[in-house]
Amino acid sequence: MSDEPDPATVVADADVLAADLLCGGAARDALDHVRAHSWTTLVVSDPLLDDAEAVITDLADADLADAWRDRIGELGEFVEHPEGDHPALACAYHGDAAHLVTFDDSLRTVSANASLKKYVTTSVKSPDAFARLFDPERLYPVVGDGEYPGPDRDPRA
Amino acid sequence: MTWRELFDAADEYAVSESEVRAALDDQRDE
Repeated sequence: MSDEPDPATVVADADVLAADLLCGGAARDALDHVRAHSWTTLVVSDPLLDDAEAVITDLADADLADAWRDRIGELGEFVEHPEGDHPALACAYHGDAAHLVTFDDSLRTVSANASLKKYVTTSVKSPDAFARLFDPERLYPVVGDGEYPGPDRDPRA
Repeated sequence: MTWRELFDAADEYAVSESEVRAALDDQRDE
């Protein structure tokens, strides 16, 4: 078992990372929480970003995927995990993330979530649920000092 | 590039969430 999860630490599966760029909607709303708050952490790994980059290349083009990879690499905090592990689950485990955001129904089912908690104390949510339920104002006193100062980064910068 | 520039560049591709999910499944099945 890894350490206690950090409530300000998030993993977005590769589908959410790609949808943030290509679709907008709930995926972008979810990741805007991270982009807008410097005290949150987005945990990533090279295998996770490889998957998202391949999807972006497939559905858009390689130049856009390259540019995205550069930018997400600046936002994310990298962890390493064994080859062959599910990248998002491994990032959650090795990054002590409290939240795993995914479109994958199989990761979000009650049984999968219960099974997952044997190994990773991470809450698996859809992008829509995370965007609605992640409350920076309520969380800030746990991770910062004083009252919530509001977003401290431009989420489009 | 900024996130705004990336999102603007991605706008020309009309991609749905289901297409992204399917593409990732294909990628991970390879």
